[in-house]
Amino acid sequence: MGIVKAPIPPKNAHILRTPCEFCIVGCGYIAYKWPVGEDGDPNGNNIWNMNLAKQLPAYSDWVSQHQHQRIKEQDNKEYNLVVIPDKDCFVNKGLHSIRGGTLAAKCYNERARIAQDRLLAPFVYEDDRHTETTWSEASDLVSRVVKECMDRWGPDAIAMKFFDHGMGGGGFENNWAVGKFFFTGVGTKIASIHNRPAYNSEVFAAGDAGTAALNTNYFDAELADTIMLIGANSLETQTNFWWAHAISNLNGTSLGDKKKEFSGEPSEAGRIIIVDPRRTPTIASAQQIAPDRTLHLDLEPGTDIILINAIARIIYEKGWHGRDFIEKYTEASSWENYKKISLRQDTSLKDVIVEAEKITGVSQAKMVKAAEWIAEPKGTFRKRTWIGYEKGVIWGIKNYENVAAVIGLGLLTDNLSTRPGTGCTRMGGHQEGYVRPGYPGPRPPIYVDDVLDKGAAKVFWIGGCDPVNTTLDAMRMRKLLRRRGQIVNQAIDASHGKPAEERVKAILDAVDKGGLFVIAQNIYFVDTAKYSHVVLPAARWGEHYATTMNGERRVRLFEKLYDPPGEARPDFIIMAEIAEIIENLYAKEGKAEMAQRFSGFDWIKGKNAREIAEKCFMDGAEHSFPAADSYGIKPIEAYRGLSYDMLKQFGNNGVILPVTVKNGRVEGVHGERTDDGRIRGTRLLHSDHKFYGQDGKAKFIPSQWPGYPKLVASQKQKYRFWINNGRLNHIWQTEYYELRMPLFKDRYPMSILEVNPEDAKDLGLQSGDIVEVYNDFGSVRGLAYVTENVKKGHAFMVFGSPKGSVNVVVTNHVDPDTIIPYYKGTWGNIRRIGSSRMIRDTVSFKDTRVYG
Amino acid sequence: MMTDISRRNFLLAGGGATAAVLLAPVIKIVDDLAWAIAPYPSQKICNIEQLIMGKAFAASYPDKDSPIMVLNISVEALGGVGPGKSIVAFSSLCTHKGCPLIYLPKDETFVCPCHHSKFDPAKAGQIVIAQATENLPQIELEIDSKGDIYATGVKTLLYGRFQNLSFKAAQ
Repeated sequence: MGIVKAPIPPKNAHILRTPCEFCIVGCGYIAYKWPVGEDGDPNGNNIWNMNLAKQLPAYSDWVSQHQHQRIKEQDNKEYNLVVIPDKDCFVNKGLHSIRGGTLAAKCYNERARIAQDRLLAPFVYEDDRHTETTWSEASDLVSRVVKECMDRWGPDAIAMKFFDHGMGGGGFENNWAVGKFFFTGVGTKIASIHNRPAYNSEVFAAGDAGTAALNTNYFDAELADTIMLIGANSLETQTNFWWAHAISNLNGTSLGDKKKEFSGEPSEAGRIIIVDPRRTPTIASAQQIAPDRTLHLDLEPGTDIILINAIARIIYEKGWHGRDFIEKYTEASSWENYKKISLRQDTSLKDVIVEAEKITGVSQAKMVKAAEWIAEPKGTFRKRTWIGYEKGVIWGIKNYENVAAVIGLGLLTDNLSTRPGTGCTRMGGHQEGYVRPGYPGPRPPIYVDDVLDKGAAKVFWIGGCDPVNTTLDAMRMRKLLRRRGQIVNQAIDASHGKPAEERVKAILDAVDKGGLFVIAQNIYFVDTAKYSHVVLPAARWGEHYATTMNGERRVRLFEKLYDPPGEARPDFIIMAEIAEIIENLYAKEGKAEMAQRFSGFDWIKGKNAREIAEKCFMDGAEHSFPAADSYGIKPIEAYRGLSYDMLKQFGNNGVILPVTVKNGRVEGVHGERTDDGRIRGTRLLHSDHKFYGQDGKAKFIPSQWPGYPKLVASQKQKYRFWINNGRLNHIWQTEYYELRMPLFKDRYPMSILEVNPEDAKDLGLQSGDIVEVYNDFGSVRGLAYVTENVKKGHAFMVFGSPKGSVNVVVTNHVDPDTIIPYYKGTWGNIRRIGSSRMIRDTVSFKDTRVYG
Repeated sequence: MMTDISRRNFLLAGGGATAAVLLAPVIKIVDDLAWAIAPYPSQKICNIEQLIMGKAFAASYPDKDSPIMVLNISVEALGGVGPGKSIVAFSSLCTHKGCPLIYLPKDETFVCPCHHSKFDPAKAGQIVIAQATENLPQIELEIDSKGDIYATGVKTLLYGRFQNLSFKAAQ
């Protein structure tokens, strides 16, 4: 039997602040760092001046085993690093999720399993394996191949797939460097974003309606009469939005703030409406805390448009819509069109809701109740409803109209972030931080997976993502990388001992014959890297300075906690160094215009890591707009004039964008001058009632249910189960850390499949059985979890898991207007494989809905 | 830091010291925080007769400030003792924020009313779903021929402690 100690930070531990690496909520954390062997003691001689020799009470500053890591700097000195939540951060109020709570354990330690497959040096493909090499060889090879392909075939010979988000790879600095390289430098249109097959907004309809993806904040969610979540499982995916804000409203904790903000107006503990086909852990949690104030609209897959528009129609018929708002602040013709198409004015209310009930499976009574909770006035006061929507609707049957229907409901009820306690916002996945030159392609953009499969492009540069597990029809991606990559493999294998110029020539000949030269830039040797010819090692969270924006548009400074290990470098340095090589190659050839395109990555001349990152941050602020605006991306990420020093001073509460900086003073764009640490900057994006449409107005976008797309319908007809998919509380994105951590790996050794008890009985399945899901596109395995929380005929798997990627059974259908996939729309059959004793004995199969 | 010791391997191997030996060729364990022999007290907690299925027996271990719950559940449990290997004990402070856990007999789990963490006593306190960063610390048990149940150790770090035993006792 053993003892385990947590290390105690000494009085002189170095204190660093940083938001979390993971979800869009961006909880604040404090890191304590001190040399190994110089721990504090439990008797008060420690950073907190506390007696730690006794049992601490609940909510103390305490260090769990996963909140510590031992790290090593480039000078070989070893330090203890403790990362715990920041109690002064309004975003999380001292709370952490299991994902952010384990940030320290996810830091690099050469002696821990987290180090497994971490890229410490560049690698090149040779003879069926990847061999370690120098940065100079790898950068030189990449630069020459990229340049020669551009020269021979033009900018679209270079395809890219990169992050466009906040941390977890991104951030303002990395996004700016990547965008400047590919759009100003290369000028390619064959671009795509980490989780989708094109370069597009996931909410084009929100932009076209005159708002932005993120337009409100979490404090206003605490003040709402009703929170409505559509296709968002917040407990598992935006955990501390749920616990620190949504629950504060539902359990009445925020009543004091409501009374203060809205004096004279009736207020009570909030209500919540959640639209989801599954009874998610979020819904179970709300039902436990506020059973009478929780409404679950458990619709049939893909029927969101009908449900939302039917509720809107009820609100309109009752006269609860925001007449004054609509008249003054929305485009009149769009309102007429919305009434006709979305509200179906020419059909009787009765016919609309009878049909809606039939197709969505949601009862008329529930629709009426939803309408009341969203919009029935409180005496003479208008209700305040905070609407949050995410992947359930964004990745639904038709992206453009799905989002349009949600924004329409927000506009109809005057809840579009004009008044406190309102909003109509994406809940989000990653944090944000988008500053880039404009995408040079068309709208709708190019469907990159499709054109790569058909032979387009010669180089495919993949950064900070793992498309062989995360794209739609993922088998197509694997097959095309194998097929086209092999042509290049053979050319490389045949060029033993040849100088770089000749190897480049061999590669060019291979890509001319249909080959694809693949570059993988990542922190780990992810599955996609197996198909690559060059692997570039990137630095991660904590290994460089960075900035991002959370789901409230709150920008904060992420301080560097330790040096990147080995030869790993931040992406904004990798892109700059390769740009410089290409600039010099063109300069040597006397091609001044081309050299110019790859110039201006001057931040790498900074004196130290902080200055390099800050120069890149400022360059992005200076040069990204209005170019990005031309593509329908609104200038909310405007921060010109902000410096790292200002952000450091604001700590984990940061400042809410957009902001202006005048004489060193930071202000919101509506002239807000609040110094309240909770909200500094632009609280509500439209509190001035200005939108981005014609004459500063908002626009209703009509939406009609399109029915199931042909390809999806063909699978639905042939196969028995709807294979819904989403996220699990334990796991961040593609599990690149969790795969390497026993705490997580032991819990979920395989992907999961939730299935209804009646279906399980029919299939002869028990919880813990290994199953196979298959359809015309492929097959994937997982562990069965039998639960009443998915309906009969429905099943649920984890999105993008490298241990069994549901994406291989997702069809290749996209919304033709936006090129956003219908990831949630796939049907398949389920087959029992068998049962493993080890899994049965060690893995919990209890229901994740907390009280069952 | 002991994140490198797979709970699965640890439990299948049946004890901490054995697990460290088994894993040694595969990974190196950070030395100053690795397993060490500690003088945990052997303390009588209750008799098997006092355990009623569906109810948790409250006690404390290794000292009065550390509340624990002893259960006799319906299935064989990892680390379980008694005739059905179904008797287990766990710390009853949530490893997230230290709130007292509730035993939910309906599905034989521990749940936390504060942030809805849930732990499985049949699977060594594994996190079913939680914002906690650690599985629930399991109390090592022994049972004698009279059915007296003794606590003999704690497998992982208890909430709110930098060391399970008071610093004085451990020295």
